[in-house]
Amino acid sequence: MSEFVSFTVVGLVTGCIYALIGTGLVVTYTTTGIFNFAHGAVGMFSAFAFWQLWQGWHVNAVISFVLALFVIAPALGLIVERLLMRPLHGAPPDVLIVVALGLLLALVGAAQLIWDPNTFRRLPQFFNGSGFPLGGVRVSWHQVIAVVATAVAAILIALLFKRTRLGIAMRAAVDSPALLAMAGGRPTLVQQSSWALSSSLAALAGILIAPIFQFNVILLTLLVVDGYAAAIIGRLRSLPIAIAGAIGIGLGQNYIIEFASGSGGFLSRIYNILPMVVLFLALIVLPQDRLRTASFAGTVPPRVASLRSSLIGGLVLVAVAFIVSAHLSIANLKIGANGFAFALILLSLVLLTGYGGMVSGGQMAFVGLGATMMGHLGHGGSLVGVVAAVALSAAVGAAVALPTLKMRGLYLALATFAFATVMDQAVFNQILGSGGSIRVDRLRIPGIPTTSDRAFFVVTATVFALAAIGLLALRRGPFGRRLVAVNDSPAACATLGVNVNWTKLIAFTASAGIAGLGGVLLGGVPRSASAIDFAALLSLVMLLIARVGGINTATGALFGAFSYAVYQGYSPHLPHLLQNAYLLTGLAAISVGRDPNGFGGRVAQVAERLRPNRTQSENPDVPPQATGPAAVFLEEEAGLVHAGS
Amino acid sequence: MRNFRTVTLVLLLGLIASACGARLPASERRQAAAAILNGGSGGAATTTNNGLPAGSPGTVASAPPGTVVGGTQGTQGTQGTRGTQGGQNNGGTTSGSGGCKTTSTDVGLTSSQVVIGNVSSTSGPVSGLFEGAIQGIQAWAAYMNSQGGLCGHQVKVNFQDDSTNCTNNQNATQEMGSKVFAFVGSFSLYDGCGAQYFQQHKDVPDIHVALETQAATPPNHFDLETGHLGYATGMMEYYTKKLGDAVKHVGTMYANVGGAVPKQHAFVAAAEKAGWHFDYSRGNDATESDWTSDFVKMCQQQHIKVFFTSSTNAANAAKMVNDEDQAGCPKDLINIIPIAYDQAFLQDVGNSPRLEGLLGWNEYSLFFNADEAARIPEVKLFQSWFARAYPGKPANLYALFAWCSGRLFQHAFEAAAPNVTRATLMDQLRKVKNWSTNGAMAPFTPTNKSGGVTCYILWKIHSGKFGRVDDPASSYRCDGQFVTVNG
Repeated sequence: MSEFVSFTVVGLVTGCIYALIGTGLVVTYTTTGIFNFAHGAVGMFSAFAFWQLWQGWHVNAVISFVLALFVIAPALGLIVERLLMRPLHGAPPDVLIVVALGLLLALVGAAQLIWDPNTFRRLPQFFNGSGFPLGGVRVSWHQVIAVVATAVAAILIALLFKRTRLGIAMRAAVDSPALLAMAGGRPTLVQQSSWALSSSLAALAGILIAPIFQFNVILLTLLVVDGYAAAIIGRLRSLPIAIAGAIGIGLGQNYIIEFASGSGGFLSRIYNILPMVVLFLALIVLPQDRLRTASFAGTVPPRVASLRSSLIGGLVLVAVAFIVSAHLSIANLKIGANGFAFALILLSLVLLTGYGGMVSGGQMAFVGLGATMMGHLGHGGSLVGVVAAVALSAAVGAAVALPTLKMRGLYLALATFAFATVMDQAVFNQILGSGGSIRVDRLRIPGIPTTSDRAFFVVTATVFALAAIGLLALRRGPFGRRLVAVNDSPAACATLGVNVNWTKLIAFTASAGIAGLGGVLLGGVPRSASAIDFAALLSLVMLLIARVGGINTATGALFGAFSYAVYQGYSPHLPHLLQNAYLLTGLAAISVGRDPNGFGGRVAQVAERLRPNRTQSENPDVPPQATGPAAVFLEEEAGLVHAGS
Repeated sequence: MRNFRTVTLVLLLGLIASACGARLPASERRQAAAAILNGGSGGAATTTNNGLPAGSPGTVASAPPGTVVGGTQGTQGTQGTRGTQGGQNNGGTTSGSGGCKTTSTDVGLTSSQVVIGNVSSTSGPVSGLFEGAIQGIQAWAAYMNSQGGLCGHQVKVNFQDDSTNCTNNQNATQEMGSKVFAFVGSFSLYDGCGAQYFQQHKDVPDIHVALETQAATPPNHFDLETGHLGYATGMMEYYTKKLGDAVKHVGTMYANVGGAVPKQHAFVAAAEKAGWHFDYSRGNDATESDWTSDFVKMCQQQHIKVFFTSSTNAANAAKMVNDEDQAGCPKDLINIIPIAYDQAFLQDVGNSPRLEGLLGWNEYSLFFNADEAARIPEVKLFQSWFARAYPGKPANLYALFAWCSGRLFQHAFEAAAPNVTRATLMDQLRKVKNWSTNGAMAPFTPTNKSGGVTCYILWKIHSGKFGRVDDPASSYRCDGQFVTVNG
């Protein structure tokens, strides 16, 4: 019994830390309409700033605390609001996700640049870590402060929202800034206040948590991930429920340890993934509020290439790859093959997110499944391995899709990210070989010596070209039009008898299968795969790169993938500053990610301008047609226009 | 750009010097600055192709044979071969390793220069991960060049960061394979990827501590920490005798990540062979850093007597010791934490009373201890040259391994002289048995693919310092057997 009390006390402390994080996420979402993936990074950055003041420059602890919490963090929030978030009002959900992720990476990169990770730093607990015994364990005064701070912050925020004009205005500014302005409010000032408050909450969490855990840029940034579940349990708006959920997760984790078998049994493994499992289940079970963001409506996707254009493009790509391959070094051939493998993975996102509007934050899990199956069954490059890899990835994709079909935008991104995290921690680390990696043989095609780097480079180019041609054909066909229409307006499609769920399920399954094939190629380049290659965070990076390249074109996938692969291959040769992948990727996402069509869209725009015959809609003599994909699809179905026009 | 780097470096040196000045006399600070700016020789700055500041140690140092450099302690030669004679101390004339002059040439070897390759992970997800490896090999190269070079050949280190990426490791290895004489002191999480090159090019010597099992298998790979397939029982048996029944109630934690898992399996198998019993064991995720509930379980529910961890890092181990306090573990809980021998560990733990009496073992010397340096000249030499090359930076285990890799290479090179080629170098490496780098490491046989190291030292923390316990003064305990588990 006494142990139960001890586990309960420890669980309460853990839960309060999750609650502190969850509170910040809920407040940010409530007051800005944005699920701030960078919340942990803001907290981390503020904690390091606090360390710099207190330990680095020996400023008084209280003054440092006040400066970090009420000057530095709000200033950071104001900068974020002004430079990043204000221009994004009404943007599609994946743009908001990408920009928040970009901010996360940029802050991690900046922190590593300012505070050398190889230099020892320690952020002491308040009162030098002293504490008192409670229920068989020792509770430090610092932990007490963290718990009290959580409670006080929650109460003050609740009062702010319910009892003050500013609090009400903060919520109103998210729903309708124009209406707020008409009522005499100042939406810009209110939004600035919201971001300043959100940053201060992140700073409070970072400063209080850092001494309890480890003072490390990456660990502090990722700690916030465990708080996602709490925020979702609170349906991103209820602080009391979020706090209760957080404490429940904290207690649950500790009770798992208490009741788990003594030697690394299944239950103890569950400890690591519990917050993500709860997040996934909460997203499925709890009715979610309507997302306070725009949909893809309003963005104009680039014109879909015709069969002729895509065939010519594919042939040219393979021909160029073949010719160029004769002049590339082995190192460059491998970088190029990596580029095509990544392009195939991004192509899976083009289908799912670009066409279908389903934001996936877990694509690398399917890539990992593909590479793992190829490693285990594809000895000698056997086609059996390839088929098994694609089939398993597709099957798991379907299994993940089934419970998540009703979700959109952020919720789907979080659910798939939770799935990828579980796969990362509970599957890949366990099965990818005792030495940490497995051998992945290169796909063997009879008559072609794919073992050579040159041949494999051409094979990867060919596979990508075929996949892109197939995807574009799919997009032009009935299924593609239906998928785009479902993305545009599920309700309108449903009224016409379109099976929305079935359409989404097929898209999700096919996307996972393509990602699995990407895994076969990606593992084949170095002939090796390890768990670190499929880390959950990489799924978010893939989403980010897809957005930068252009998430609704094959050209965008190719551009994004090659940018990533070439940077990865050449970064060791770059000056130190440019080796900071976090900073560069983050800045790229922030600056380019706002364009819904990315680089690929711009290329398509240029191509469109160069076309001798413009589309009908640009001809003033032709009467205007329906504009949205759903409307076009409905008209097609009703026989008002010819399909494919 | 180079000017900018130099200015930055000088500013950094200034800061470091002001911060750490108490540790070095002014003369040594000047020598250190000269060493880092002038390739360890006080001579002119030289070219670099390794991303380090021009003139940093390990680039082609410009000191002619016989130049006096910093009054080094000098070495004692390398294990009875025609080894380096070492310097004369205190600014006296230093003879180069002139006793082994050679005129032979091969890939990466000219009559005046030998180029060695090093592929390590110094950027990527964990910035600066194995920076110690390149620091250690650069320190060794600077030392060599200060002695007039290796058998008259100036040592140039061709370094490439693989940015913790499999393909980059392969590419760097492949690219350098046709340019360098041998690979020495690499340290990468992805060395198994580069190992494919060594499997295909068995004429290219590779001396490093393999992290992935695949990296240890090529016949041209020579390891400094052999024993991927298992672990030794000697140290476990010592604690069985010393601690009695306490080892029947052990709790352990380990990082549930890649190569740490098989290492943990090897530890556990050897310990169980020595009579230990593990009541609690859990692998933790890489992002986990609070283990209070594990210790509540271990201490209050399972009443463990010993806590053991090694398949993790020093920062995690320090946090675990703090979590023992948090979980109310009894004061007499015995901590056996070999990974704790790290300069950051003591700082990380802070003022925990559990620091006193904390136990562990190394298969290498107490390489950053001042008292160890007084007992083992090689450790003093390493400390001295590391401090000259990287003033103010703490030397870590990767630096020691890289230094010792350099010394093993040096030994084989000198032994192969005057007819030094890649083939004769490897012939000499294959003859090496029970190599200890003059006592800096426990004896090992670099070609041992199935067995592993069975020698070690025991240490204990007393008054905030690591010190030997029940060990020979300057050598190693060698007993027990090697248990194979991962074969």
